[in-house]
Amino acid sequence: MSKDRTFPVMVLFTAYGGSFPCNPCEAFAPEYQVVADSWRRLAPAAEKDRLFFMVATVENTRSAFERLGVQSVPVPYHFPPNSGSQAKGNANKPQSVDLNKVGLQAESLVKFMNQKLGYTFKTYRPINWRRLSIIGLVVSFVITVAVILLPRLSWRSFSFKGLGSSVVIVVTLMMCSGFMFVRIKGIPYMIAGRSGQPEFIAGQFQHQWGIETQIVASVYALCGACIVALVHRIPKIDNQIRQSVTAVVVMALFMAAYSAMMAFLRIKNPAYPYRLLF
Amino acid sequence: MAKPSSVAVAAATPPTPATRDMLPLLRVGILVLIAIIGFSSRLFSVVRFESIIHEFDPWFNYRSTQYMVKNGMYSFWNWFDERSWYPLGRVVGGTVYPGLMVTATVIHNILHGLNYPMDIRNICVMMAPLFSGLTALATYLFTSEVCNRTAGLFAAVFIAVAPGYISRSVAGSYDYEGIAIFILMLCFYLWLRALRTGSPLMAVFTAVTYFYMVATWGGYVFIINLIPLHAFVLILMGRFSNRLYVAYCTFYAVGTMAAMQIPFVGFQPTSSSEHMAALGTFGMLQLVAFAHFVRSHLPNQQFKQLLRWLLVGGVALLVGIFLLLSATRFIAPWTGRFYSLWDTGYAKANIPIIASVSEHQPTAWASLFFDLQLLMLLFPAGIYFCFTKFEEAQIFVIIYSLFASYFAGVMVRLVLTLTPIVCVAAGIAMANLLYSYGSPTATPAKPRNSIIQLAVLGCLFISVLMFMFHSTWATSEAYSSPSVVLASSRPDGSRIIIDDFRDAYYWLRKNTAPDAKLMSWWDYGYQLTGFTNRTVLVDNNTWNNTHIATVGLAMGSDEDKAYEILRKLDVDYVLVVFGGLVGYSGDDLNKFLWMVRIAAGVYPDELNEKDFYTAGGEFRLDDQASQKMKDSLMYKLSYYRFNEALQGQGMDRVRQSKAPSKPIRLDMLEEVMTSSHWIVRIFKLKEPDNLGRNLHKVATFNKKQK
Repeated sequence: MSKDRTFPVMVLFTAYGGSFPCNPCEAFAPEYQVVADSWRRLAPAAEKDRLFFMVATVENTRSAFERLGVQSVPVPYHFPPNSGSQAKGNANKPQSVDLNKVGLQAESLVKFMNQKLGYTFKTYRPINWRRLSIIGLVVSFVITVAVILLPRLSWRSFSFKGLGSSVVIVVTLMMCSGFMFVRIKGIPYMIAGRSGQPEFIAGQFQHQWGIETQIVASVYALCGACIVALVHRIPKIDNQIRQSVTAVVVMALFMAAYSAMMAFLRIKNPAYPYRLLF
Repeated sequence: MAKPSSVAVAAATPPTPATRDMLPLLRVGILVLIAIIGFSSRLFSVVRFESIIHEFDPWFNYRSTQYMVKNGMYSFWNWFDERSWYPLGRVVGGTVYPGLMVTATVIHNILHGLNYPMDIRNICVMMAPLFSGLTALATYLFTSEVCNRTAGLFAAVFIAVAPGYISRSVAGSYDYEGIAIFILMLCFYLWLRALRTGSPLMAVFTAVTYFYMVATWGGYVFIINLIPLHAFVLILMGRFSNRLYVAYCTFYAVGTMAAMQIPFVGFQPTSSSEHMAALGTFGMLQLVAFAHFVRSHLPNQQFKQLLRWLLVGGVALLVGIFLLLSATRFIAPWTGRFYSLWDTGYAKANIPIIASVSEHQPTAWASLFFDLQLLMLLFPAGIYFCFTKFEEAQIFVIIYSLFASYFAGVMVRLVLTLTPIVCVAAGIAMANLLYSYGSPTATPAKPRNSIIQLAVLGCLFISVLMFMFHSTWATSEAYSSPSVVLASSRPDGSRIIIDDFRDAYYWLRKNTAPDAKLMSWWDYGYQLTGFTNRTVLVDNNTWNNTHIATVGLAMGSDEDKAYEILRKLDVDYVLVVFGGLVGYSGDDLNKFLWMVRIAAGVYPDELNEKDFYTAGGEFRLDDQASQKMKDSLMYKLSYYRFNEALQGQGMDRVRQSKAPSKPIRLDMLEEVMTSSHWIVRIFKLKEPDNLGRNLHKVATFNKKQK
């Protein structure tokens, strides 16, 4: 960062591996590559060689971190030129982007550079051939199967009810178990608790982890299966002893599931007063 | 009522003549008891506090009901409310769903006609419990239509106590939802009945109920999309019938004409996208009916050819027209709330005022389980049993469950629309269990061991009992607080009532000029006009985002800037809610970032959310708060004299942080009232100086004089 720099520089302050484990840094690294690549490809020809993209890690450039007072990583800084015709005198303070606010995508950094720094270029994302070919393979496989199978299946033999009921019930249960909550808020699947043990159930009433959706939906589904078995299957068992044993087991399962749900609720809200079996 | 569509329960145990005569009486008795339970379990708040209107929106409904009772329907339509949205005012007649107020007024007038003078406030308070009893009845009818009467009784008792519905219908919660769920269930019951009988009369009843819903709640959109969807699915499954044609076309034609009579709805049914599905299904039914007619007159081969070309042409034509109309913006008004249902990122990115409301947040499983408990466990089985039967009515239940559960997952407040169908499905599951294990005689479809029967029934009994306990507890603990009056407990467990809001409102009513203008954040607008009868700048109607943003800008600016804005808006008093002393977490400082966000959305040059965080990106309010935060009007008004009053030991119990230690200097406003627990603080704007000096200078001068 010499005193007489006639060109602007983009520096990403970050930390890779080593003594500072930082997941967002790892996630943002390829996106930063995309930004630099986009600049190289899509920037106006006159300016293309004037902006440089650099990376500074904690291990190598500790003094720069201290001088700028960088508190959190990753954070991109933009340094305007401080000499030459482009320099703007007092207005050439370095500017940073808060990636926590705008998001860890290349697009958000490009948007920031276009809006606040006066650059004009778009994000260029190379076509992901591997992903595309996998999608193509899957699609062609499905089409082939459909072409082979469909003429042999008539609408009559097709079990609409069986398929329909499972799809409807699965979707309904997912929606009722906070699936949309996790999706909209971008909640992690699960996290490590205080003692390093995985935490399955978040201890807050208005919050949950991704895995809770699966646990809760499975418990609901289990209860549904118990009731359907009690109504449809068990009465049809011929052997009386087997019938009785199955009925008791299934009913016990239902009660256990009910108790488990209340126990989960007690984790989330310790003031909840009710319990059944445990 | 004839019962063709039900799990064959009646055939199982032929009742003796004596019990058969008793059954209707028993059923009526049970239903009456259910209605009484539904009514009385909603009275916790009245017993504990008093007969008072709750929360925020009900205060507007109450105020406009008072207006309607006093001035009549005609002047209500023309009511221009100059007490709110100063200086703009609000055209109430054209921007409100009047059904709730009309219902209350009608009840009031009937009672007075019978020489039973009941105060309108008590009618409004008791409205929701009263209609909950009726909801139980409507749910009974609906479930009887789908399954059988046993299921109906179960569903009725479930909906009577389900916390998911009670949350919106306790006594005092005088809001649209309280009566809308009754109308919803009645409308769906009538629709299923019209569909089963093919009776135009029933379809007209459906339409009239739909009209009542349109007049009452914006959620009518749910009906006008669900019924067409049902009809559409029936057509797709090859279940078109003349009954469907008669029922749907009558319903749509009469219902749409009726809906357009409500000024707030106006011509939306012909133009807005929410109503397009109904119109499309209406058109499609005509085509399908025509095809059926042609088929009966043409040989099969020719008909198939004709059908193919007509279908392709018709679909292309419809899509073309739709695209054209959308492109020319003729049917463009996709409302923001509608978008935020489908595209879940939309609201967050574009409409902070929608995202800021906590009831528009997505639902975590715990709150859904808290609201439905045992019913949630019976829900999937109920859907499954609908699939085993799979007639028109069952298909309706399935579609309803699917969509309502999606909406309930996306928005907390829509758990309300999911609750009835979960009760219905749970009722169906219970009825099936009872059918298999409840009857004393063994048949091929039943287990023979009576001990097993008893065991299963015992477990079910315990579960339902547990559900009742849970519901009562949830109602009493979570849903019966008026939120105008707060309750807290001392360390020894005795209760204290925190009545700061009403104290402050009463003070305003008695001590300010009748034409005084009050500024507060919009949450308290309805309460302020309702309690104090003074003019407010913004209220819970949130129709003008810019005006709200201006208030947010004033709150987020420094004293000079804020004073300028307040003078321009002619404000006399500023009211802030501060929970730091008693730990009331719903206070203005906790909402402050939303104010800044909303203001920054309209005035991006004036405010920046980033400036209100510390350099490390934290939201802090103690001595380390950012300078912009310390300068902001909201911060100053909240903490003014706080630390001094507590001898420098001030502790903000909401944020769990130290109060700012440096005395806050306030030159342009003066404190006129702070309630006993400091929750409400009222400040008066100082007049500009007579000598034309800056108010800062005046304050310094006065200080020197002393």
